[in-house]
This record gives sequence, C-alpha cells and structure tokens, in this order.
Amino acid sequence: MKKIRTFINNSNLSRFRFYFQIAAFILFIYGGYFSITISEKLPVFACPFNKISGGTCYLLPLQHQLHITLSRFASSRGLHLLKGFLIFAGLSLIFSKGWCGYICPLGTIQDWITKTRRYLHIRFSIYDKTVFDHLKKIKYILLFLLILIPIGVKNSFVGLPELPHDIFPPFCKICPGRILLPLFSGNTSQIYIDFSTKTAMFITASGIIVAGIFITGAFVKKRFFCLFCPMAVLLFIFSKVAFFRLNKDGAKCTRCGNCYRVCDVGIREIADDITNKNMVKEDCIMCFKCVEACPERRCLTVSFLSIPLFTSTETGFFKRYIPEGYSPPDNRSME
Amino acid sequence: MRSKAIFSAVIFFILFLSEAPALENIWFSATPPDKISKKIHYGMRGQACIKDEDGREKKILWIRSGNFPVESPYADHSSRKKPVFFILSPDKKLIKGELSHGLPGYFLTFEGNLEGFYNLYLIEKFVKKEILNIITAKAEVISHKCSKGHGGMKKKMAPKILKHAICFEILRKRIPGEDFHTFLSSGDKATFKVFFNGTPLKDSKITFKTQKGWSKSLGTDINGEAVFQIIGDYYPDWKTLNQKKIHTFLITAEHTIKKTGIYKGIAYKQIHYTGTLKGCYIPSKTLYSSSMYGFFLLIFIIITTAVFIYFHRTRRKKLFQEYTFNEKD
Repeated sequence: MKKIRTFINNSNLSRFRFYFQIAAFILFIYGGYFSITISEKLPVFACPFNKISGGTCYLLPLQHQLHITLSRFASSRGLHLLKGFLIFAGLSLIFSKGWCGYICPLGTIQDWITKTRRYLHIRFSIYDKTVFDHLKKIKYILLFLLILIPIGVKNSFVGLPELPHDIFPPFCKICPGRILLPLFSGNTSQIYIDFSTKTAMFITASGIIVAGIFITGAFVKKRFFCLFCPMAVLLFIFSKVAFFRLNKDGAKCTRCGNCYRVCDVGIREIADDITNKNMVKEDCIMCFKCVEACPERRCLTVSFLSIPLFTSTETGFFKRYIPEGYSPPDNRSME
Repeated sequence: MRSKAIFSAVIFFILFLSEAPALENIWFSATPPDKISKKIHYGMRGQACIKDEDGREKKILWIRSGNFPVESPYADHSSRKKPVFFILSPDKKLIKGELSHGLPGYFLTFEGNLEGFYNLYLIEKFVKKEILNIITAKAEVISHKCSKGHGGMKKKMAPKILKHAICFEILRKRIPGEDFHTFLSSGDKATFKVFFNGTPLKDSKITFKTQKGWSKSLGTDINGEAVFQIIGDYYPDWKTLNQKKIHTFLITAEHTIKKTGIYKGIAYKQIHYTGTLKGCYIPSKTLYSSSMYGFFLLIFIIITTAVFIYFHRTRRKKLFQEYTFNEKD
C-alpha cells in the first residue's frame, strides 16, 4: 500500500490529467455515437447543441426550468426544478471542482489552446490582483442574469413588459461552448447571426463575439473563460462539503510561491493563506498543479472522503521539476 | 358560328380530359376552430392540448375533410357516420381516446403521457360508384417533457405502423439526428413510406401538399418510399416574419385494387385506398439567419483581439536600460 501511495505521489499527475481530459472529451463530445448519456444535469459544458453529446450541461435545463410563470413554481414544475438541482448537487458533491479541471470539454479546449501557445513560445498573461478581483465578479453577474432572464421572459415585473423570447436561453446564446463544441462533431450550424429581430441579431452576434474572445483569450491567458464561468459559482457552493477536497497544512508551508506560479487561474490564496485548511476557491479548477509543484511533504493534500489520494512530497517535486541526473545541493533526505 | 363550335369543342375536350373532382379526404388537424380556441393551449410542435373537467391534460386534434391544409373545412359530423379510430401509444399498445363532435365537426382527444410518438388513425369507409373507398387519416403526435429526460430517444422516436388494423398506411421516416425538439423546416428532405398490408408498396401515387396549396406527386420506389423536399412557401414582409410559424403539410397516398364484394349491402368492384398523413414544418433558418456573417464576425473578432493584444503587449514592453552609479558621487 505504501509503495502504491509513493508511486502516486511521485507520479506526473499533469500527464495523467492530459489523457484523462482526452477520454472525457471523447465521452462528452462523441458519447452520443455510442448511445451514452451520462446525465442531463452535468456540472460541465457538455453542450446539448452538439447533437452527439454524451450528456447535457446543467445550465440549459436550469434555464429551461426557470422559464415558467411565477405561479408554476409552486406546481410540479417547481419540483422538477428542485429535482434537477438536487441531481446537480449530487454530482457536484462527488467531484467538486474536479469537473472543471479534468472533465469539462470547454476547459480541455482551453488547455489545448494554451499548449499551442506554449509551443509557439508566446508568453501568457497574468492579471494583477485588482483586475483579477474585478473580473471574478463577472461570473456572479452572469449567474444572476442566467437565473433572472428566463423568469423575466415568462413574467412581467413591476408593470414592465416581458423580455423578448429571442434571448432565451440567455446563457446558451452567449456561451462559447454552443458555438465551438459542435464544431468537433462537424456541426457548424451554431455559427450564425439571426436577423429575424433586433434582439435575436444582438444576442446571436454577442455569442459569436464571446466565442471569438474566448479563442484569443484562451490563447494568451490560461483558463481564460473559467474566470467568467457561472458554473464555477454553482460548483463552489458545494465545494466546502464535497467529497473531493484540496487541503493545506499551513504549518508546513514555506510560502515559496510555487503553487501560485503554476496555478492556471492565478489563485493567490493558495500561497498566501496559511490559516484555512480548505484550498478550493471559487476559481479553482482542481487541476492539482499546485500539489505537484509543492516541495513540502504533506503540505498540500488531495483527498476523497478524507482518504488522501495525492499529496505533495519533496521526491515527487524533484522528479517532476528537476531534470534527471541532477542531485540536490545537500544530502537531505527526500522523504 | 364555326369558331364558336370549335371553342365549345375545345372546352368540352378540356373538361373531358380534366380529372373528375377528387374524393374529399379526411385528415387530422391540430388547428382549432376559432370558437373554442380560448380553452386550447399549445405544447410541443404546436400540438393543441386541452384540460378536461378533472384537470387532466389531453391532446386534441380535429378532423377536417378536403384536400388542402388551409381550405379544408372541419369534417361535418351531421352528414357522416362516426368513423372508427385507433390510438397507438409509443409502447405500441392501443389506448383509449374520445371522438366527440362539437361546433364544428369531430375532434379526438386522448391522454398522452408516455414519451414518444402517438399514432392516431381514423378510418372512413363508403361505397361510391361501385368503388369501396377506404380512407385512413393518420397523425403522429409527439409527447415529451424535458423533465422526463431524453434517454432512449431513438427508440421512442422510431416511426411505427399498425399492421393488423390498418391495411394502407403512410409512415414518415425520421430525418438524420431528429430528436424530440427537432422541427422539420422548409428545405429539409422528408421521406415517406407507403405500406399495404404491412409491406412496402411500390408505384403508389403519393402527393405532398403544403400549407399554401403547392403540391407534388410522385410514385413510390421499390422500397415503397418517396422523398419530398419541403419547399419554402412562406415569404412575408421582413417586419412580420415569424420564424416559429408552424405550417401544416398533408401527404396523401392512393392505391386501387380490383376486388369485388359487398359493403353494407352495396356491391363494389374495386377498392380504393387513400391514406393521409398530417405533418408540420417551420420556415428554414436560412430565411432569416446567415452563417457567413457569423463566420466572418468570428474571424474578425479573433483577428481584432489578437492585434489589440499584440499592440498592448508591445506598448507595455520596456526597453532594457542599464543604470550605472558612480560610487564616488
């Protein structure tokens, strides 16, 4: 058992993640070919506009279930909304933000774009803390609109007219996943501008613009879209009680900053915070690059139902980051 | 005088050549007559639904007689006998429904809670000019609630025939990738298959009629199939364009066999089968949307943002400057 644990701790998790992402991508993009439907309440962007998707992103059913008159919230439709949310909550509890880092097809595409940039030797961008804190708020605004607009399409508030139906489902209309994910199955039907009404034209053009910004953004900034993702907020709600966790032992942290430097989404707290145990922040994608980059033994630990799965070790750090043949300057014991 | 005679002869010849007035078909329609439409609400694919006295939701279809979707009046219940009907549920079981008559004509209501397509059949038989006419009206009514999930869609969507009760039937084959939410739209190619006693029928005349009366007739191939491209016959002013406007199309197929017999005391020498199938379609997306504009906008945004980032980075690049300090100072 100890040998297995040592093997895992010394392994290259990023490589495992790379292959796992490919497998998940195939499953969620082409799963329909094999009649696979994992769930219709998935906490990842498995886009239903891709006709052969192996599951459905929860945001579409959520918007769909909110697209009712207020009185119907107290009927069976309300129960369906609750049921859907409970299924989503259950799935979120199991893998927490691991859905983002390991499974989300849109996240995988961003990682592939990042890899392309790296091969081209173009440097990536880093936001300063002020910009980062401002950008973080966008996903809350998007989530708020995602909930409010479908209700507003079906109901009038304070005497105002109902919102035009052309903007429904609002988030899907501007989601880059709707435009980009079907492309992987050869479906270009989502790249269009609807000229039937001004609203339709505005919202479909906005979707195209967001998709364009997504591609360029992901090229210069790692996990660019994840900062604005409303799903991240929904997943964050359950992360504190989720089975899959990332814990930090602040007493062992030397604040070297390695974890922050490798973080794709730039979470500063991973390096600075030595008081809190739970390190899953709202933007965390649980890629565990921080654990890989941490040279302090058991400072950062990934656990599932309190069973440690992967932990930071000095040996693991040196194996992953120091070229073969290089020996540490002193004769310290590595583990 | 002579020219008048020629003119009369030509008219007579034309009248002689022209077909006899077509037999009035019966078909299902989801469009309610105005008088009771306030009670109606619409579900998937524009399917009319009504709530009964117990608050149970039922699907409702009206029976119309005529050969074109728009012009056909609602079937008059006073001048015809109550027809026989069947309802085949998605799990291929015959279920109960209610055929009532109100103002105007007949309507069929049934509870459709299972996921998938319900097949509705209505059969009318009568002898006219020594021909036994058997008209079978068919409609496929979809029942789906997203809350019930989308699993096993292919099976639930599969078209089916009622082999043992219906001898002449039209079936619409599903278009590739068709799901619960797919609407046929103008431009799509729809394939129809004609069955006679449960086997595909070759060389049967099959006619496709659009909402506005455009029609095309074909003969079925060796597999009993005929393919029609649904034409776009909806070109409104830009301001009144309704991209979700549901149009009805009507498919009719005919087949005649020579067989003598007696039906309700009247002898006949031939049996003429007519099948009708109601369907619906919406205007094609190409009527009001452009993929090319979308594609160019996408490329434009990618290039613009890339150029912006490039110049932003160039502007922020600080040239290397070496400062030397003279220790003596």
